[in-house]
Amino acid sequence: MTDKAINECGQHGFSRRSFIKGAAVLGAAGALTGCSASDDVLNAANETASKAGQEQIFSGACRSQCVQGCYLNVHVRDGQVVRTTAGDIAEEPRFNRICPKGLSHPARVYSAERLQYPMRRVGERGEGKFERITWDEAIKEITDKWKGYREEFGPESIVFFLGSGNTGLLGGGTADGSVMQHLQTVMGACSLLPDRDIAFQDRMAKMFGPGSAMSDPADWCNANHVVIWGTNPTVSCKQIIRFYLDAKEAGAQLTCIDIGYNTNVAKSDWFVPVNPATDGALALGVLREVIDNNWQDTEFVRAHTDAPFLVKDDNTFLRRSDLGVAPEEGPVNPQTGKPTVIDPELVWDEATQSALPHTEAEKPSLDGVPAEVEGFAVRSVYSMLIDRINEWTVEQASEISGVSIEDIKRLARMYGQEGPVTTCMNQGLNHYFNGIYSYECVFALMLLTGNIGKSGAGLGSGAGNFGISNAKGCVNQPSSTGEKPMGPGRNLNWTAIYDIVHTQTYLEKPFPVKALYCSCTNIVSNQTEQNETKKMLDEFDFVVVQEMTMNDTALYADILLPACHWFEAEDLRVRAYNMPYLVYNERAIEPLYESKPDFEVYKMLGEAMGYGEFFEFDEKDYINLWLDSPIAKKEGITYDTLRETKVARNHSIPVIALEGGKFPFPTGRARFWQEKIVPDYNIGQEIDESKEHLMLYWEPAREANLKAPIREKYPFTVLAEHMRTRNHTQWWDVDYMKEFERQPIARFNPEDAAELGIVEGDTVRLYNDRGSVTLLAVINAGQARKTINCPRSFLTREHIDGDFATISFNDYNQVSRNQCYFDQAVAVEKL
Amino acid sequence: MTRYGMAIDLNRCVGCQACATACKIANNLPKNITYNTVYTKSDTFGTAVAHGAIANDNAGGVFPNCVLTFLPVQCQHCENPACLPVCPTGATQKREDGIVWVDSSLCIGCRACVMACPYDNVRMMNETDPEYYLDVVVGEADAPVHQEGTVEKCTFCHNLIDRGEVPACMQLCLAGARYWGDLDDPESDVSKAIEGRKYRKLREGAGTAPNVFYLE
Repeated sequence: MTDKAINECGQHGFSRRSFIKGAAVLGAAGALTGCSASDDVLNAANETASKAGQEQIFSGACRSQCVQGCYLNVHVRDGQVVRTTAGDIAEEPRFNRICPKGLSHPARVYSAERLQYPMRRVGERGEGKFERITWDEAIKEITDKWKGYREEFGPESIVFFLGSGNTGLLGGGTADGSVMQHLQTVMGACSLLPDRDIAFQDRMAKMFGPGSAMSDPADWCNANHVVIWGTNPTVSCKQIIRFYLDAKEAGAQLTCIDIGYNTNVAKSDWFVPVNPATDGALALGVLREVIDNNWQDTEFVRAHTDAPFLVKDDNTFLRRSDLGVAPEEGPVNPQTGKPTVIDPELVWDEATQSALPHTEAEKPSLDGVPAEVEGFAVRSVYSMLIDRINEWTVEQASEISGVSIEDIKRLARMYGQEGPVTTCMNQGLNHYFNGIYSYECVFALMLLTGNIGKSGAGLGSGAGNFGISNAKGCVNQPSSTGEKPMGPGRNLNWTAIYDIVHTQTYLEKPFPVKALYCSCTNIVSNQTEQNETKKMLDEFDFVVVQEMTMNDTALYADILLPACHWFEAEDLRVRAYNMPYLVYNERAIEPLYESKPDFEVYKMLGEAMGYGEFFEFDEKDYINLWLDSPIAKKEGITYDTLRETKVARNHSIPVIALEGGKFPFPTGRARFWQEKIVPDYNIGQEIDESKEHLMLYWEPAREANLKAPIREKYPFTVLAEHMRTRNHTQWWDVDYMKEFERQPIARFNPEDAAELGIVEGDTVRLYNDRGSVTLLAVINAGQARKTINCPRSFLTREHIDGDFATISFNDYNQVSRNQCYFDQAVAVEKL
Repeated sequence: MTRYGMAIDLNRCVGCQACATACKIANNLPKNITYNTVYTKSDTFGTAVAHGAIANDNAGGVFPNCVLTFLPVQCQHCENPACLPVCPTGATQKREDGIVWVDSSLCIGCRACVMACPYDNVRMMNETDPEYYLDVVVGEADAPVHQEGTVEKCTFCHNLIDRGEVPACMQLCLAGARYWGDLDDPESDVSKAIEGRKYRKLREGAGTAPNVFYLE
């Protein structure tokens, strides 16, 4: 990486100003005495101006689920947040960051949409009619209900939705050791899983091993090629776009494989337009060209993957025990506490022409394995990979993906001959029914061409999370009297929840669920198939929502609890996707109105449920418990040091992930083969295992597939693009952001628009059997034919009619619990 | 002598709107006032939601051979500002360090500067008593005053500069596209950014000698 990229970031900090510690004290009423223009405006301005440069600066953490994890300066004057700027991470200014959302926090703090006091529903669910109640009343009503359900139906009749809308440890809901998760564990409540963005993580873990497979962006500058494949960094993870631009300036060729021409493409050297959800077919076509030219990295594949392993007829590997050698006991696995079993997989050693453990063979054979080894009919994983690749032709891949034969061949040359190639992916391909297969085909391309685990060759574009420290210890912490929590209830999948609530059965057994508790989330707007979500909410007996604003989920609450803004409570930002620092968030101002820190609310609920002895901690205790981990100890990080340094890094994260082709599986090798198919969810679904053993399979998406029969009725794929100015629906109430994204729109290809008789600004309705949305049309030459892009994150009330979130379906691939946000076809009506 | 200028690397600008947002908040701008606009450029000079477009970020050209660039535009703090000689009250002023600003206590809202300036939308008139998005005052304590019947525009955040800070739009550009500083100091960020680079300036034919350099 260039010195420039590492040492500079064009950021100018406020570090020269001393940080003033302690809370600024001014009540909500005082904070809201705003200025209105008047004849006295100049005098007033002069008076205020004398305070210029005197603001107190508190450390702040932007905790939205864009997960860029920004460290902010929160400027406070007279007890009010007046400005936010990028905090200065002196050790590595490349991680200094802020965006329009981070810059407009004052408008979230002082939003007119803030919930000001606890409320009880008085109208119908969704109608938005509430009456004001006290905190005491709210907590009593909630916990009386919960206790009643617990006694009559058991603790699992209460369901928590642990939202991701706050990446803080204390206030957040995420499964990173949050207090909300502790409350769930103490109460034995079920967790309703969001089931988003799963396929990518799943294939990374199954093929590359547990832990992060992503290299630090600092290494991208060492690539000859950087490929942005199915991800939208300029909008969705915007703090890493500078690293792409740095890599390009350092000489890497930037290629963008995407459906449409967007900002990422505009910054790239080469645009490869691909039909929606056909990336796996494209990768298979590229692989065919690689294999035909013998461009695969044979030695990498032989030494660092399971390709030489021998698979028996029963789909398991041939092991040494198959030859009559009893498995040995290995060292104790620190995670299970049990001894490991040593029974190595065998390969065919070309040097000795015999079956040997892969660890002992001199030259494991890839494609020269006898049909029968030691009396077993076997095939090498490699030979099955080659057979699968040979089922495809470049022409066929071209026809499906829409990528020209010439471009497929050029991609093959890139991966096979012009490496190192860094492949940057994120969640784009996740959002289709076939997402899991798209990822495995691209990962297979990386493995077979040896473009991983080397400088300049690896997977982007995350990397660098601090890591989850003592999350388990936090969640399972015993009571002050030494009692253990009863443990969490079952995980329930989003796709099954409506049926569970409706039938009060789960996996064909009675399963009464009565109460739902949502915090840090807006499920109505952000989960698929909104009409089903609303039906589900209607059928719960009792719904509690803890929120900052009156969003679409808040409208469905029976009891609504006002959470304060992030800057009004102390917290530690623990989750981030491309930022290796923890960020300490000071309480910059007191909570406005009657709102309370989420942390405090979780504790109040726990105490009122009769579990007070499980909640005898304060912020410092809980943060210190989370930091009771080898990483934090090694770095010397405690609550007290964080109060001083504000940020703290995990220095153990390697720049090059999986360096040397060392994959964190017991074999040390990457995997193409799954012996046993273990789906990541179980709702009693049937599984066709033939698709799953060899992780190089592809099938079309459900509705995004151009040839799907449904496309005759619904000819357009609708892609839900992130907005630059919102994160999911957060910032919906910030008017400053509407100067850039004013209202829901649908972007049309000019030729499609002409055929439909649509011009810029027309009102159009997009609809299918599930739902409908009415919004404004705009013309975008960057749209591929038969695709429509809609920025998603608007509330129902912001649409002309309907809601964008109604048109998606809520169903999962057979092994992957993955919401499909892009796999949706609609027809268009001009209004 | 100090001569402030700015360089914007158009190869790096990704249209994120951070500079425009920072400007709006740090200067406590009213609803209808924009100093800094990031235009989407496709087949046109540029469009922006802030100036009436329905949406930003739409490409031009013909798929897949499209055009999509971004152009951040604010007052160009010209060497020869067209707005300066036409101001009848002396409200428009140029400092020794090159910053062009409007003293709203002297401005009578005659719009002569608006007409004379070759750059659209960089200055705006408070037609009515300014309205704000929030009930609270945000931004710097010494942000420009906003008064009915006066014209305002980018001040290069001279309030911040004068106490050793940087213009709000410069505090952090997430793509690393913006540079600022003293054009007469070869060691300044802006001088180093420009050195050896091709650049252009907006509407140079107007003869105003702008001090914003667009790196290409």
